[in-house]
Amino acid sequence: MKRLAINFEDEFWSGQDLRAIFIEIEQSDSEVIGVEHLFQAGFREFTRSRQQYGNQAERIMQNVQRAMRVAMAREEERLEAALPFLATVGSTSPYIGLFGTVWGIMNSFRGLAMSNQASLAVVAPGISEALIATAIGLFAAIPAVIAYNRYSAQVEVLMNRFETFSDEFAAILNRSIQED
Amino acid sequence: MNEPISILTLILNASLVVQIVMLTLLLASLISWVLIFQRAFFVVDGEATGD
Repeated sequence: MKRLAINFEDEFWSGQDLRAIFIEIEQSDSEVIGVEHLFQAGFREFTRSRQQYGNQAERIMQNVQRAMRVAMAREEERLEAALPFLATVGSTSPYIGLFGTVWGIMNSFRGLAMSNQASLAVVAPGISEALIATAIGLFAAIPAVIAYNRYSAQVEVLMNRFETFSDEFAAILNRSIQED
Repeated sequence: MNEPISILTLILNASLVVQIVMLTLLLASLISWVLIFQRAFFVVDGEATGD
């Protein structure tokens, strides 16, 4: 799971023949992801439509753009896969921990009400035990919130990148039709 | 009563509801870490681009 963006774009802009890059991608066994996936979808549709419609640039470009949009939606789905879970953990686990604490303290006060000699030593262990629940809740929530924010920012950066790439690529293909 | 009680004994003596809550939270934390590390490995390249 590596070549998500940078490596491929370097290759793409190196001036290599696009068809050669496409063939290389088609032949590789590893999963095609990121910008590479967009390129693959776009170029495949381009060759297919080119055979069918010849020089009707508008029609071909419409199909190519549609194919790349689909690929982009797939990528977005993949990138956002873990985010809902992290968001849920980040927002609910402090509450769940708090619930455990309230419940524990409730019980230890009930115990205090029943004993006839009320001392701190009777309730203290119960309260301490109950507070552990809140601590664990925060322990779960903090990394989840940090990761959520970080990863959703990353998704945005990558999606912007994908969009820019697909526009640039569409422009290149469009020009190549018009040159013929 | 002068000895501090260890956290482990506190957890083991906790009531069932509190124990379930703790277990749920630990599980949630564990799963989040798994997801976090999975992600960390595959967005490495996108991140390396910097912009």
